[in-house]
Amino acid sequence: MTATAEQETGRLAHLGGSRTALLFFVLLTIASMALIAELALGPVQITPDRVLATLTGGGEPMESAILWQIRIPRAALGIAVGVSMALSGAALQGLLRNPLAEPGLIGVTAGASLGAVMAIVLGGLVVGLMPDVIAPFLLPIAAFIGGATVIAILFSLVRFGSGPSVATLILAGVAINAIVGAAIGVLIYISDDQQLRDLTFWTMGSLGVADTRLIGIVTVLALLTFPVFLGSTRALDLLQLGERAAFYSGLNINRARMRIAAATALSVGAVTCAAGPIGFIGLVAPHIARMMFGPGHKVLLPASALIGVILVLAADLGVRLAVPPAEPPIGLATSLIGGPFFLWLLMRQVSRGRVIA
Amino acid sequence: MLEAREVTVSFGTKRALDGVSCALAPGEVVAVIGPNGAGKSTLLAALSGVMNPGAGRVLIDGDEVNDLSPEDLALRRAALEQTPVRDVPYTAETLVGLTIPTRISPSEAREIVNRALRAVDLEDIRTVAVHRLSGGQAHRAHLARALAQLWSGQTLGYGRYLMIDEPTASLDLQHQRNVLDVVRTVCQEGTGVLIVLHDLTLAAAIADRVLLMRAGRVVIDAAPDDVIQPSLIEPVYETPIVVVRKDAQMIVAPDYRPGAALNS
Repeated sequence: MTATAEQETGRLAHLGGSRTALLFFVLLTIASMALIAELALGPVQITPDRVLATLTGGGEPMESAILWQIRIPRAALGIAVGVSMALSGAALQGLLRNPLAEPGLIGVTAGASLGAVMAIVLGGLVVGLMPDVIAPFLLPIAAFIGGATVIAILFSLVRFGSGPSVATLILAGVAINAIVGAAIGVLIYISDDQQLRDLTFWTMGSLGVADTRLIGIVTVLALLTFPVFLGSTRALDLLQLGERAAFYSGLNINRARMRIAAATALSVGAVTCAAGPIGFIGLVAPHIARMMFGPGHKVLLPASALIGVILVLAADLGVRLAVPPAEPPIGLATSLIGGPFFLWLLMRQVSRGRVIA
Repeated sequence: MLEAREVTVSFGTKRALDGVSCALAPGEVVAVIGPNGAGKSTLLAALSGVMNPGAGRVLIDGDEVNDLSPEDLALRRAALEQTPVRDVPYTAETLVGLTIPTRISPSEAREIVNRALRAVDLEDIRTVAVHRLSGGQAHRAHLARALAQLWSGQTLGYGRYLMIDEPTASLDLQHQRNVLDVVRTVCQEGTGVLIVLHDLTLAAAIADRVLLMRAGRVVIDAAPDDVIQPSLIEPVYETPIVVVRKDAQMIVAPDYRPGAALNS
């Protein structure tokens, strides 16, 4: 964004409610269109009116089966991924006062991934020892524990309330990413051929999860965190003033941090265990939202969530329709687009002389 | 009354504050002066509750500062750090309104924001993003934010203490005066103001009492006339100074002449 464009968005943010409402309506329309396309398009085309008929209980058996067993769970997971990653990204960027922060950057996604990979490779050893009720949930539990462990490690490394905790947090994330990368490497090395195949596809990220019960679980878990994020908007606004000024202004810094971090661990862990690490949504969605709506978190968070949904559904449509009936992993698409975007942001930051602000 | 009783703060082995006691009453201005590293900002941090003293107590109207929640504390006192974050993405008016508690009605909040912006002479550029302002303008915007917080507290029956660290350092002469006017105004409204200053002329002009600090201790806490004298200032700052009295004003500056020696 150029200087004038930035000034422009600053002013746009002040044009008030009607413009915000209009932009939200536009985003909602695009998201609805993406959702309809996600349900209608594929190897078997189902026209929107027939989608509607099936959803309301009618429709013919084959279309009904395709929708309820394949496309609706896929769309639900896509929405959960889009909202979770976008909200986590926007909240982390606000918490760390760094526009480059992303669940992947500080190691939360990596932690969740390690948990999931451990479940895939080593799960066979423990699954027989577990009660049958828990066994199917091994993957999400492991991923959540992995993500939450990383957050706990970060919190024990960073003494909040004093000192330059932002840089420490990000550097800790670098170290955690390296450790997790090595640990996953070891696990891949000892895995057998079938596990290797599962892992390879899982680590590329995909919405094509067959297990609808798993999708139901992670969607509910992700939903639980949304009110926590949306209730943290004032805290995130105050944190933009720096820790000390936010405290002077009446913010309980530690409590705000814990709340946002816990919500991040839960939502990232949930969607990562089902869909694999899907990168850059948490970076790109909040940035687009910021350009459209300005920096205030009250509008920024819901806008990021909507944009996240649009991006994920659009990326999924893209990979599904590129070479049908094959379905390349969606993570490849988001990384191919998001990676360059990240580099562009990085260059912009470097040219302004502030990489870790 | 906002008071520190025998407060000690250590960073590692260094004692930033060493048994400091002082008090700030509503309606008075106390200037804190002293060389770099004397503990002025640490004193402000301890009094404002952001730093837990290793020993001693900090009381605000009889309540232990560290026992109060950040929300309660924010109603009772406003504080401005020495170098507020300049890279704030909000406009000046959004920044100023940001710290007004949600309990204040929107119309009252708007009135407070307008008053604060007027007080620091920033009404003309209220819709400009703070990170696009000059250093001095950004500092004034943050001062307006602290004022808005103070006045919000007063609306709710509190807001009797304001602590500001070096508010004039990045300002031109006109706006240095402007800050003194702001301090006088809030003081007349019954607020006690603790102000850390390097410019001793400003300290002499504004303060009811001057607190001279050195190496984490209070050297003297008395009226400006009694503190700002070469015999007290020179040994603490280890530099020769010149004090001129003119028309009921005390003008204090280092003796910049080559070869100037300590008078005392």
